[in-house]
Amino acid sequence: MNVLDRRDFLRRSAFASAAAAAASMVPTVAFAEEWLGRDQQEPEWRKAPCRFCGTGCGLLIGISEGRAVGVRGDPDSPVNRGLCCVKGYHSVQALYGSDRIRNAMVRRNGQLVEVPIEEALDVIAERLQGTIDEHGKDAVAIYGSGQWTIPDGYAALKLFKGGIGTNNVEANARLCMASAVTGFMTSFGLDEPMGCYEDIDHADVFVLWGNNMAEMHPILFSRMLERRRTDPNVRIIDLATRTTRTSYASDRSVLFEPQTDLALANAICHELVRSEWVNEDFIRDHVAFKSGKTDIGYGLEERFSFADEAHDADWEEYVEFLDDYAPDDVAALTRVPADEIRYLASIYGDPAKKVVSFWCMGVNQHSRGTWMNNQRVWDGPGSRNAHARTPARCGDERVSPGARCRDLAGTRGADSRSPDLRHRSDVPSDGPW
Amino acid sequence: MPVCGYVVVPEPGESEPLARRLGEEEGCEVVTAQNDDMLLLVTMSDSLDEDAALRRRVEALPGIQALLMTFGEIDHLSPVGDPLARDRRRSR
Repeated sequence: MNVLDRRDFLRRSAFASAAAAAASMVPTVAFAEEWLGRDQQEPEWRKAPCRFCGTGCGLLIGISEGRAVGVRGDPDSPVNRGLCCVKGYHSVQALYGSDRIRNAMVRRNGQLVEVPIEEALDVIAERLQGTIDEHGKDAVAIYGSGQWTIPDGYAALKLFKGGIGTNNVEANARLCMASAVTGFMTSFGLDEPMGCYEDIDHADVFVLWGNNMAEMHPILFSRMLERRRTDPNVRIIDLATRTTRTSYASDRSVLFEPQTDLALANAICHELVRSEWVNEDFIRDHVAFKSGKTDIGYGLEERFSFADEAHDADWEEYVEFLDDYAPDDVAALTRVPADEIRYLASIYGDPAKKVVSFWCMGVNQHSRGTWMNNQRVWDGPGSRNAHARTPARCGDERVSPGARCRDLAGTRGADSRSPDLRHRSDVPSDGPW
Repeated sequence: MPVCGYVVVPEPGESEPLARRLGEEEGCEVVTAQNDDMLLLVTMSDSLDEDAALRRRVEALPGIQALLMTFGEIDHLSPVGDPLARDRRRSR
């Protein structure tokens, strides 16, 4: 039998990616795996997380003679259930790219030269120590990514927050999810959306907020389509600023003007309140109303800053605030017909329907991302039926347990507002320090 | 050494004849869907020029509704040669 060589590996990968793309177009399509070849030695399959996006898929990596030669979706993974998208199939190619750095390198006399890793680590330690001695501990930082694994993030926080004592750790969370963190913290007191992937299997309606899942998160998109295939009553509604492949797969495509999704969300809230489709018990028992600035200008100018002036408010004040967002008025701003807005509100307000809202960077990364994430209280317990889930929090499954900027290692909260630094007493002496 | 993967959507009723035509092209390997009118196509050639010429020949074939590239790798590490011819020899 022949061991899989590189050329065979690329051939298989090309077929696998085409098969994955075909499956994202027609989820039921099936191909005989004749292209795998019958005279190949089966590689050893080992489990690994896919590191390309934050969905959290499990992969099986085929190893032959110490090289990764194949990729499959892990059928035992509760996230992708054996599915794999184009990004996952391509993931191991990065290991063998011709431009991949394979050795530690240090710049000397303007030239990068290869050095033993021990020597490179000594250089880093020396530079860090020198910088700290001269300028203080906050003069150093570590910049990682959402592709860090949980142990990567844990080790980074252990070294920089626990050891050096600086908060200068960035692993994508501030860039990618800052508005979501702030929105969730101020709405729920926790940096997590409610809901989980299992909600997909029970939902009656999916509402996608500026989220092109077909191309960005095809595994969850496939799970959503599979849910609709097994229940013809399931509906997918795509809210977007442009028509995408996701729009074509949806049952209803609603286009809105860029930067108007917050008005659209407020108009839905207006309709929920006007129609009395509100979970009154939850509002009464669990919601504290606050009012802050509503006009902060564009908000993304160079050196922009503002000091909010939040004060206690009540339900009546909130209802009055929503007066500006009657569907007919918002229709002119968003170009979404008022009837569409009322239809969306009726979806969220129907207690007989289980609704899942998906959103991602379309909501998060614009000038009102935090306020949009504040609205998630309505997607969830504030209305009567819904759950919300961001499909890919850019490394969430790894960043959250390991490297959120406001946490100590091991997801131990570091509350800088706590004068007695109680969070430090939560850290066991034999723990992450 | 370019290796490319495509999803090919045939025109109605053209799945089998298109698969045959593609299979006759040097450097092409085709897999047909078992339950749908859809084909997977992998092309392997020895240079970018050959890859471009092969792509032009494929695009000129009748019966193609859509040709969607899903994979592309310029492999500098594998030996030059007709890999599909080698595969065919091996499978005999």
